[in-house]
Amino acid sequence: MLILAQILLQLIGFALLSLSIPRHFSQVFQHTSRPTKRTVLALRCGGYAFVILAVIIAVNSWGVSLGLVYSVATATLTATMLAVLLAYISKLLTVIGRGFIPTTK
Amino acid sequence: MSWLHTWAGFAFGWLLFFIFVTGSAGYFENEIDRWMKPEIAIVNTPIDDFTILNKAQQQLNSLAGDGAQWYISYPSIRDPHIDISWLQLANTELDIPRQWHEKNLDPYTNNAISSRETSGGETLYRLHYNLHYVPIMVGYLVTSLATLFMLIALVTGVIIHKKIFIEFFTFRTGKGLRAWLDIHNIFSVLPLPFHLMITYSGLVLLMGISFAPVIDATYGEGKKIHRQFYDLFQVEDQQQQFIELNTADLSLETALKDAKVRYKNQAISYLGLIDRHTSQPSFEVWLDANEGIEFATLITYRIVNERVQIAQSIGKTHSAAQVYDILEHLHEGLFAGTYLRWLYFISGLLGAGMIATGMIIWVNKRKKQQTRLINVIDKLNAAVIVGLPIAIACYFLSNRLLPSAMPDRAEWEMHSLFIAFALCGVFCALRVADKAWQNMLWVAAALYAFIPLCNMLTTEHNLLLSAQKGDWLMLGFDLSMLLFSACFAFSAVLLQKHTSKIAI
Repeated sequence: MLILAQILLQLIGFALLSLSIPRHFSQVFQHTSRPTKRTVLALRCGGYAFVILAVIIAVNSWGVSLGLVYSVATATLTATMLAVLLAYISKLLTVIGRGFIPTTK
Repeated sequence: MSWLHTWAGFAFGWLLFFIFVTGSAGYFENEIDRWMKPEIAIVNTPIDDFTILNKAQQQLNSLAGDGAQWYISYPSIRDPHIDISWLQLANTELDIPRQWHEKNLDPYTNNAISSRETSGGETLYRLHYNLHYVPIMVGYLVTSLATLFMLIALVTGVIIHKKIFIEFFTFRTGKGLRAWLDIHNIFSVLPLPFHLMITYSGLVLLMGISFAPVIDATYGEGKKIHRQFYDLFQVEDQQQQFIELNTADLSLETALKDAKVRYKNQAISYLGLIDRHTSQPSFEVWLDANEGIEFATLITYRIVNERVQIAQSIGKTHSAAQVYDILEHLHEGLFAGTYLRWLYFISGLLGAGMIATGMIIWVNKRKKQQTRLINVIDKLNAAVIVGLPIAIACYFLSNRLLPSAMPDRAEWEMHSLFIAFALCGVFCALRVADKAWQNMLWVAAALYAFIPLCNMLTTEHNLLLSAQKGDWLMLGFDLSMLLFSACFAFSAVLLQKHTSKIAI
């Protein structure tokens, strides 16, 4: 259960971070325009917040040494999953991204 | 810097690939061992600790009455079976060499089972630092040197990768060299914490050998002095106390009873009885570690000054040894549960992928030159990158197919691995490079698919039965082999599509 929460939180966090990169933003939302500075900032803050939350939960439940090992190892897994998602089925990410972007239209 | 990255990586590329793959297999050492010993009895119902002790002691008494040391290994999630082992001291009159023996114990029938002679998971993962056929020191030094180059390649790689954040998640498929570079970056950057940790700790673990001249210069020369240095460096702090127990009553039962009261929530890992043949035996209780990245805790019971004393290690005395311990635990990942173990394994394979793609990029950048050397390296890339998995598959298959009474059977399993590896080299050298890659991938897919089938044909285990009996390790191994087979087949199909596209 804790592991699942860890994966989900990091997946959301890294997805938002990836969307804060103009290349992936345009790719996912099929926009030719680049995201505004405010959107990028919002995505980044949201992304880091989720990732940091995941790390805090991990350290809380497994202790410092084991918690960090869990977070870092999970980060490899989730980031790799995202890279694959972005390369082959990037549209899936619109679901996660939309709620966090007030200015996309 | 780019030059350094290319050549530091290239110099030991094939060896590093070998180290990463065999090392990753090591994370499933126990699981591989279980598959390679199909005879052993699996325990999947909880059994009382004292019942196990009684049954094991009965067997040990009849089998190893004169054994100097006894060990009883308790079932755990990774090793769901009971094993007994004992040390037979040398006896020159009867011409018996000093030797360890091991048998598996079936708690339901009380039989002591001998499994087939096998090299198991241990010899497979040891390949990643002893290289098997060379003297052990040469193995240590060559792998250390390769590790040093790996570390250089990693650090320079981070420096020359200018868009490490912008292209963090980027993989542009179907764009030739660009796509290879992207996937090389993904394999390197995303598991970078793992790569740095495993490379650095790997280097440090062998520092006693690779940095031997430093010990020579500062402490003293010679094997004996080095051993002394190592012992001094690894000294452990011990917590000692006397307990209220009659010395005549000290036995494995009472030690186990006492340890279970002291550590209520920790599972017993194994019990040991040391120096049985002397008047000063000691009794060891090993507990599963329950916190942090520690592996196990040892409590020793012995008689000192007519009283029972217990001693427990509470970590290394010197801070250098403490750091060494942390690096060793992180490197070996023995503390990891199923989930973390798989991540360790996947990260290791991503590392192997990083090296493989690096080697492929090296060739692709030079392919236009059409020189013979580049062509040969391209073929040998196929022989190593796909050949090693094929060789490992042959290692597993040899465990099932070699006759059980064959002399030096365990050794021949290892020979099978290297014979298969050499054959892959010959095969690839004789083929056109593109064809070689494709054929090798199909061979790998076929062999990995054959492993579970071979298991079904030569033993009483199969996928269905393993699932019914709850023999998860056997089932997991067979399923993983099918998964590998599918991955190889998928790669072969992708490559086929790609080459036919170029041909049009």
